[in-house]
This record gives sequence, C-alpha cells and structure tokens, in this order.
Amino acid sequence: MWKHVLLSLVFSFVFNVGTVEGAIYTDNFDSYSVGSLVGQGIWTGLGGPYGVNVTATTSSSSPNSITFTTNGGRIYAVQHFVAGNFQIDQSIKYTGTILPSTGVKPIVYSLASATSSLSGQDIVLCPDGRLNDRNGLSACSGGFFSTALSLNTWHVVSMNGIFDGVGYTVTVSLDGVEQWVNYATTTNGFGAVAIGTTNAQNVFVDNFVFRTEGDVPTPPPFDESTRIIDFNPQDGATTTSPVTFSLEAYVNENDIGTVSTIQITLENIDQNVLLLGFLSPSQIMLVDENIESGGFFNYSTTTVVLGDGNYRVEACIKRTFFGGLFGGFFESSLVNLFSDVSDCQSHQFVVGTSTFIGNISQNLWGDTNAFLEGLTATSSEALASTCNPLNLNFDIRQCIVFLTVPDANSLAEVIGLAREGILTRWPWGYGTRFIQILTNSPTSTLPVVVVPILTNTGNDTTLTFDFGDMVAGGGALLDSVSDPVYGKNVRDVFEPFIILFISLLVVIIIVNDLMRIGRDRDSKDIQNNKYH
Amino acid sequence: MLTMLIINVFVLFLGSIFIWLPQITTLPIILGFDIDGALVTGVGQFKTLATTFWPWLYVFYGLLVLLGYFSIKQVIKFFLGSRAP
Repeated sequence: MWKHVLLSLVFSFVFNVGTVEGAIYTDNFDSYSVGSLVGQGIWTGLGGPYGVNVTATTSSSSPNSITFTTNGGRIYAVQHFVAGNFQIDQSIKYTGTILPSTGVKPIVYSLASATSSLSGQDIVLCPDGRLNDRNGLSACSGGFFSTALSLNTWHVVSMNGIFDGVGYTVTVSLDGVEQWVNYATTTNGFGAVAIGTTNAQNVFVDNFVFRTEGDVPTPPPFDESTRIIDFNPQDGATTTSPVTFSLEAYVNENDIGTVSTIQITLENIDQNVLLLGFLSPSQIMLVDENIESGGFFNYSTTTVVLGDGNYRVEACIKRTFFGGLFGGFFESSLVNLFSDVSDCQSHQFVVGTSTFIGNISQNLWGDTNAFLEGLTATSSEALASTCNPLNLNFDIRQCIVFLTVPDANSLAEVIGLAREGILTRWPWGYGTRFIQILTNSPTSTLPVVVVPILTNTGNDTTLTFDFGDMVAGGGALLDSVSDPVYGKNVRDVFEPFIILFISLLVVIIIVNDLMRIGRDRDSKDIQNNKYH
Repeated sequence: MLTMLIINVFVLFLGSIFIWLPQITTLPIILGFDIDGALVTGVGQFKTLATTFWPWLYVFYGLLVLLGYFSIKQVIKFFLGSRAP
C-alpha cells in the first residue's frame, strides 16, 4: 500500500499528463472509427441537447472505443453534400466551409458493432439538417430502432429525411432496404448523422462504419480474447451511496475451465484507512465466481452502502490452479505459468464527498497508470531517445522508467519462451505436460454408447446413451432444487463447507508431514547410539 | 530495458544449459499405450463429470496441492541428498 503511494507521489511530482489533442478530421470517407474521438472531452454534438463523454472511457481491451455515459448522448459523423457525392468524415463538431449543394440524393448506411453491448439497446440514428451553420432542428430527431442490433452483424440502416429549411421529417428502419427515398438539404446546407442512446445507459461502442451505397463490407473483427469489457463505477466518477457495482466480461470458449474466476475487490483509499489501516480490512471481495461457460458475462452486485470518501475497485478475470481453495491464497501468491488468461483493471471513484488524502492517492494512482499506459503506447525507439542527452526528447524521468520497468508484452513473451524452452525439456517436461493436462480446460466429452437391438422381424433399431446429456440434465435438475426461504440450491449451501473441509484436510496432511521432518532420522540416530 | 535484459539473459542462460535435452510435448507411449491421450481423455471426462458432481472438483484440487507439496519435497531431497531435513 505505502509502496504504491510513494511510487505515485514520485510520479505525480515528475509527470504531467495532459489531455490528448489532435485533429479528428480526416479524408477517410468510408470508415468511422469512434476511437479517433477518444480524449476529446465532453462533446455537445451538433444540435443534440446532451453530450458524449469521450474523455477517458476506453476499454483497455479495445483502445479504439468509447463509452456512452450520458443520457441521450450521441456520436456524430458529419456528412457533407458536395455536388452529388456523399462523403462521410471522421469528424464531429465540424465547422468548416459550408458547401453549396443542390439536388436530392439517397443514402444507405451500414452499421455494425464488434461488441455485445449494442445488443438489447435502443439506438437512435438521426440525420441532422442544417442551414447556414444553424440548426434546422431544435434537436436531432431520428428514428428509433425497435429491434436490437445483433452482435457482429451488419445492419443496413435506411433513412428518409426531407429538410426544407422549415420542416423536417425522418424515418429510420433497421435492415430496411427501400423504405426511404431521399435525404435532402437545401442550398448552403449540410447534413450530419448521429448515433446515440435514448436512455441513461452505458453503451460500449467499438467501431462504426458508415458507407454510401455499395456492397455490404466485411464486419469488423470481433475480439474473441477473454477480457473485461467494462465495469462500474467508472474511473473518476462521483456517486452517492448506496453504490451498485457491475461488470461485463467476455470469456472465450477455449478458456473455459472450472478454475477460471471473475473477481471484484473494493478498497477504501481515503485517510481513514491510511491512518487506521491496521484496524480494518484493506480489501473487500465483492464478487468471486468461477466461470463454467463461455460467452458474455454480466455481473451486478447487490447495492453496497458506503460512507463518504475515495474508493478503488479492481476487477480481475483470471485462471488459477486451485480455484477457491485456501481463500484464494494461490490466486494472489503464485503466477500460473501455464495460463495466458489474466486481465485486471482498476477504477477509482468518490462516494459523496472526497477527502484530501483520498484525492491525492486517487490522482496519483491515475497519473501513474496513465503515464505507464502512455509509455506502452510509445515505441521503443522513441523511448530510447529519451535517454540521449543530445536528443530533443531527452527526459531523464522517462529514461529511468524505460530502463527499469519491464514492458508487459516483452515480459509475457519471455515467460512464454522460458515455458517452451526450459520447462518442456526432458525429463521434467513430462511433469510440465502432466500439470498442463491436469490444469487445462477439458477437451474431451463423455462417451456416447450406441446399443444395436436386433430383432427377428427385421426392424432392427439402436439405443443411444449420451452420458454428457445425462450429466448435464442431472446437474440442471440438482441446481433447480432450492430452499424456499433463501432460494439457494444444494451447491450454494454446501459448497463453502466442502471447500473449508478439504482445505483443512490438506493443511492438516501437510502440517503433519512437516512435523515429522527429522523425526525418522533422529530415531535412526538414537538406534545407532549416535548421541552417546 | 535493463530489467528485461537481465531477465532475458537469465532465461537465455537457463535455456542454453538445457538446450541439448529433447523437448517433451506429450507423455510417452509405453507398450502401445498412449498415456498422454488417455490422461487427456480421462481428465477431460472427469472434469465434465465434476461440473455436476462438483465436490469431486475440490477433492481434485486438494490432491493437486498435495501432489505439488510432495513433488517439492522430492526435488529438495534430490538436490540436498542426505542433508535434506
């Protein structure tokens, strides 16, 4: 804890982490990556009454992403009307030259998402008519998708809008093709396309691609790695008690194993804990669940009543050797060299009123992490140049970090090489392989037995016994039986006792064995009269 | 950079010492019996069963811990010989 604070203090005095600046207008007319908006702060949008927070809401697993955090927030892709050619900019808040335009042209867009969060959400897509840099609409009045967007699927979005400088109408349909005819602007006008949420909901957006008429493009690649997609409260948020903690994660099918866990831990970081840390537990485990199936996971803890102050919540998804045995001792104490599954993220937030020391701790932690993440995004060549006193990039602080802090990717690569080059050598390679088999996810299923039934009538038949189905059915049946008061099934009730019993049994066996160390030799020495 | 260099040199040193040893990716086949395949199938089926008969899973984990403990003991005995406690 103190080591962390001291490290943070050092970094805070040394580094200044500013907001990301840069042009967001490009000439790419087809692809609209919302990642280009990251770091641009709060945008009020074009004509929209609400803003979209694109300051620090990226997901670490999808850096080209932002999260809608505001009720009614929208992302805008400005579309200019230039001599009959429709061009989609990677731009929002565009205030460039107003171009003359004539005519009425149809537009068809394709919309896709590489994330799950769009599923089940109502998304509004709205053309925004403008005239002479003035809103033609008091608010962007798009249509609402009544059908949820499907994961990793391209949806053809059709719009029909007529803007005559006085009135404006628009209809939007999902997967519609010819339900609209024209999208029009008048002279000296331009249109904009926006996507937004309709309610106060947290929508994770990875990539949008707008296109003009043409073939449906290939859907964006879906990140199939086991990872944490998002969790709440968001980093830097200020909330009130009681607080609800939620997490969305994705687990690849190949990583399914009964020893994979998702955990959320909470820690108070204000002065009360700093001063009285030895009297109170430093961390509270909010969620600690084994993963037994692949796909998307959404956890929402029960609402937790918290006093005012600064808090840090950490979400982790990882694979361990021994599941929940020994209260997770092995999860935190040992590095599992046989697993690549590990993703931990921290958020800091304030409940009610923050405290002075809590703010310092929170800010320094954030600065340090932002700095280290910044270094990760910087090339090795650029970092190396910070150590050259003759170079304009000379920076002794970055140089020290560059020299001493190992890069996470390089470290993982070296661990992989060590695993491959050392641990797999004869003869201990057999042990490594044996442990791999024991700890890896199961790849085999229970056998299916087919019994032929021969009859004299010629109507031969077969009976098939699928033990996998039987076990799955039995398990579902057992889990469905729950007590009438608390709604807990057999496993919920007895699992903690069995874990405790087996853990104690193992500890007793090991302690008993340790207590016998030297006893056998002493008895032999006594027999040999060695002590006389 | 320097830390990575040290780690790399250490891994390189260990790797070069043992590079002459054959690499093991699967358990051997003895008298026509594929130990690797049998273990993969057996453990996989056991874990599939354990998803329903979940107490066996913790028994399995407990055995793994004991296996690790006794393996460490044997390694210590191997290196220390008669000086092992």
